[in-house]
Amino acid sequence: MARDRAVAKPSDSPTLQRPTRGWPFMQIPWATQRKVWAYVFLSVPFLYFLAVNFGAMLAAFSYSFQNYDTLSSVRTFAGLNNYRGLFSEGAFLQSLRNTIMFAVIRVPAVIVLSLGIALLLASIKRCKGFFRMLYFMPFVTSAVAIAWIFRFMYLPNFGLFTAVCDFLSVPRIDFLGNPRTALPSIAATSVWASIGFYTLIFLAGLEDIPIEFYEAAMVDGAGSWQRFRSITVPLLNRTLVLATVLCLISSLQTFTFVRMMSADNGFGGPLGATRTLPIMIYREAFFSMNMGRAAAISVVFFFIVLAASLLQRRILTREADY
Amino acid sequence: MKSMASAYRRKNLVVEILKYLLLSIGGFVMLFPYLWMLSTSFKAAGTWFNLSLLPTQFSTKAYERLLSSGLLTRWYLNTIIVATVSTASVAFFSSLMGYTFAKYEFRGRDLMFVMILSAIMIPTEMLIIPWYVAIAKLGWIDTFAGILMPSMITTFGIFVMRQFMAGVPNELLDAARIDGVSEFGLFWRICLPLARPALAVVVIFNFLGIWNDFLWPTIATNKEKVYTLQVGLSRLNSLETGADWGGTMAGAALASIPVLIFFLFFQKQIIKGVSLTGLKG
Repeated sequence: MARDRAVAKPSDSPTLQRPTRGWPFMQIPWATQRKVWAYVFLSVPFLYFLAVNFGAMLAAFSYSFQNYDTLSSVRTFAGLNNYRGLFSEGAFLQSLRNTIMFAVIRVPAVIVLSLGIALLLASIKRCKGFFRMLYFMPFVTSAVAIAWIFRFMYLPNFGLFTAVCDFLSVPRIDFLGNPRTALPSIAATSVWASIGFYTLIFLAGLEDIPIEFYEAAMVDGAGSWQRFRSITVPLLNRTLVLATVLCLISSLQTFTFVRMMSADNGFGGPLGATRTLPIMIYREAFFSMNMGRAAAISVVFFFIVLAASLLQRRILTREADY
Repeated sequence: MKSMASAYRRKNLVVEILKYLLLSIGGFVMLFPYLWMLSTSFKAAGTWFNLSLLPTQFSTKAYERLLSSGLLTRWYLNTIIVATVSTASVAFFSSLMGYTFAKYEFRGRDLMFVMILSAIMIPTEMLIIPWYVAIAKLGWIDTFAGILMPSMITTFGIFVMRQFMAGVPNELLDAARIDGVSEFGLFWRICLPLARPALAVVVIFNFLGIWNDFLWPTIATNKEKVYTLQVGLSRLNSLETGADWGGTMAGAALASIPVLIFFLFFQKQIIKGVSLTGLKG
């Protein structure tokens, strides 16, 4: 043993050998042995991971070219039939529009509100943890529970928000029943629920900015707006990119709130005003029992999510260098 | 000079008060829906639309009805089983994979890791279709195996564990190697105990995620008896005739209060986990 210790070198060195115990495997150079162990450790979990994610993704691609009835499981090659007509179909185009509208409402609202709250929280001394906890609570609450609470408050005529309308003497709004207000009402719920998460992301980003920068700027006589404009914004850029991308992707993928709160039994009513692509995929696959068509829509959806995350990244990182 | 200083201080004080005022208004907006849920859940049937925050007729009937049917306790149990099994698996395999990615050099390592990270870009809405086909073929619909099938390993877990394992000094591992510790022993007896703080983050996040998950469990189950808590909660209002808002709010309270208490205890780890999400960019 003492001899082994004497020759010990940094781990990359092929001369470093484990004390052999006579097994054939132990005679192999240590560096090779370790490569083998790495593959042994990864093999099963990585194959599982591949199958559940990429394997399933490829399967979805292949279903999109098939006539595939969920119940009978009869599958025939359909070519592009599932895609053909998708872009001239009113329901699909409406879903596409709704999905984008949802993100257009939600992303700026979440980013502006949570950045504002994070800046306020970063600048106070007392009760910081308490406020942070308050804003963060919805993150740990299930979307289903939140959806029920807001549905109850949105109820026409009896709900709390109707009472608020009466109190402000504005006409009553049927929040979830009116095609014009339904989508914004659901988006508002989801904004309420996600502010805390993004506030925490911004707080972490703000903490990374060295305090010396602000001190130096104050010595130079920079006002608080100037400090925000010239230090906080550029140095927070990376966090801003990340938060925007995360928020955009999660907006596109919102399912539970829409499913729980939209009219027509959660299928995107009224009049399809809240039918988003995730809802349409769900409905085609599990209620219209048309797996092929659902897969085709999900492929289109996949490329939208992918494009969003790639494009967004490029636009926002262009000015990230400082 | 003196008056200028005091004017400055007064202005500062006004700004301070304004900040707290804004934060308090926001905090009230965050807290109020929870209060409204609790208040409604304790209102007697038929007084749900009464706008007072304190119930005029206090009643625990909604809770009694929910708990006496036995279904809700069943859903709790199902969720705890599913969350525990998934979390145990995620904890073990994510750590092992994170350790391997951080501490070994082998062909294809970076490619494999990039693949794991890019998997989060595949929307779940797309994956549920083949997942459903798979569990239907395996006969796993309405089973825990079916609910668990896609959630045994997560990208988040692998990412967090790799970050942390990379910080374990190589010299420590080499010293252990010379003492005859096996490669798996290095992981199990040295790296894993050292990575306990990161592991806590992964475990808590996963448990929370499975507890609140809705999309996949609602597809994988049709029978009331195998519902998870969220699936059961989502169908609470259709289980009974007519809208039972007291019952729904009581259900929402029973589903969310345990998690909020859990959050109070593990606030530190949860906040750490969120900032780790921030690192990924």
